[in-house]
Amino acid sequence: MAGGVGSGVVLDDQRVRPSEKIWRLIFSHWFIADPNIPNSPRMLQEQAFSGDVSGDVSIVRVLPHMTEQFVDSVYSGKFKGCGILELNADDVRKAGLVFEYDHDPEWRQDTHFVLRRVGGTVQQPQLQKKLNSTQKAELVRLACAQPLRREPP
Amino acid sequence: MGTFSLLRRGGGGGWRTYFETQLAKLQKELPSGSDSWSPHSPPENVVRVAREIISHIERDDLPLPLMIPGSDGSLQIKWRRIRELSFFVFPDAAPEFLQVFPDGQIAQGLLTNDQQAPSLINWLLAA
Repeated sequence: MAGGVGSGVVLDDQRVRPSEKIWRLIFSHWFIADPNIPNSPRMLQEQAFSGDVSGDVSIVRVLPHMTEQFVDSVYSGKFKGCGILELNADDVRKAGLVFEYDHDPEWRQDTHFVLRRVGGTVQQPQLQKKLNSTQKAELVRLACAQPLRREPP
Repeated sequence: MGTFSLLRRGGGGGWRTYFETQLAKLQKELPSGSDSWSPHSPPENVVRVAREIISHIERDDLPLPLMIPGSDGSLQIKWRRIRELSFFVFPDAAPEFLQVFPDGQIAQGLLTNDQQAPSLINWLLAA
């Protein structure tokens, strides 16, 4: 696994280049309307960045092979029709997050990463597994600045 | 208790029924477990803590909550007005709150006692 923890180690994987686009898949439970307002627009919610029990929030780089059709085909169509949020890697880093490589052959080499936050001290920074609520809210704010690339059903 | 009674407006607290309906729906619709991509059903310990938090809120005049499952089985209970308030209940950690102010300022913290939820709800409805 790239990155690592400890003094002198680069925590943020530079394979995700500045200004590069990344995608996070969005399920319909995370893109919902306000039930109090009839016909209100659907909005992205913080839980879209909740991660698994170990804190992994998956994203993929938008490399040349990454198309909506490719997303629809991975894991035998598990994500077919899923919403797609496109973010700029710079913006994600400005929100205080870094990228950690997590090899997943289904997405191909150098493509699948997880979002991490950096904690610890300046002298000894450490990768923190789970994003906090503020960071999730910051990501939602970033996401809401533009429409989803593809809305979930 | 007296203060809460004075603040109540009718309506019978329909938001509580909505909370339970949505909770049951999420439990029925979603798979259990956890992954880094997709939402999962809140497990029993999350449901229990969520109900406990809700039980401390006496006000009936709340809007309907947004109920949002996480990919770790967590549950976000969110109210949107001019201000926004969320409670996050996790399968493996203490529950948290998140406040979003009208100017975009954000505050978060742990829910550590029974009085916090009612107090935060009052904050939500004060503006």
